[in-house]
Amino acid sequence: MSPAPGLRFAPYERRQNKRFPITAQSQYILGGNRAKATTLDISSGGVFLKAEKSLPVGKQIQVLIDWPALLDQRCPLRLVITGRVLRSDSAGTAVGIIRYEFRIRPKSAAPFAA
Amino acid sequence: MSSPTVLVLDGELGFVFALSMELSKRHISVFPARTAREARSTITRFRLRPDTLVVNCSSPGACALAQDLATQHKGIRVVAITSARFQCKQCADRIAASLRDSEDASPLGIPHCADIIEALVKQSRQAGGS
Repeated sequence: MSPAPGLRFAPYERRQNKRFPITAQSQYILGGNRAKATTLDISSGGVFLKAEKSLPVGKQIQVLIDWPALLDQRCPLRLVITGRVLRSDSAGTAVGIIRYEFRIRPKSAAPFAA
Repeated sequence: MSSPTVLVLDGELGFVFALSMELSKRHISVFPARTAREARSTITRFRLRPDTLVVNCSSPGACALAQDLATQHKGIRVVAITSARFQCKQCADRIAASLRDSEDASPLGIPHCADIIEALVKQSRQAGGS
């Protein structure tokens, strides 16, 4: 469907796999081991993060990120991304997103930023 | 009084995350949903009464969800966002008619989006008496 007559749009696709620079404390689980990381950017297709070491390309990985707001000011959420390591070097690790979901963060689990 | 709440229906993870970060600085809670079905489930699960609904026009069922919530919740404001084209002619016509200046169709940055949403949340709470 074409846009309505008279309605002009910016000459570029605004948000197709656009990377949003987002720095957030996170953790990843790879091969059963959990470690800390920091996100550098997030898009609909992937997340780029900085870990303490390079990660093996091709491996499945789970990235956990605290959602930036409480639901109704009381209920903490955690974003759980399941993906695959696409590349990893000194600049960071690119993870292609297979799927993601939101989970209630258990009250016993401390926030990553703490 | 419940806290200001925004339901965001959009599959663009980076956008929703960035918007949530910005709105959390303004003490506005954001409930994310990727699909209209997930949005309805979230509303039921958390007994949610959103002040503002932000929907990506390309999300299937977004228009019906907006209409349902507008019927159920007095004063709710709806923000329709789009990146390329409208799925729904009714939405396209309505938005085209509301634009006095075609430059209004230019992309907005996250802080600007948050400014608009914050203002609409305040309007909604005044209109809804919540």
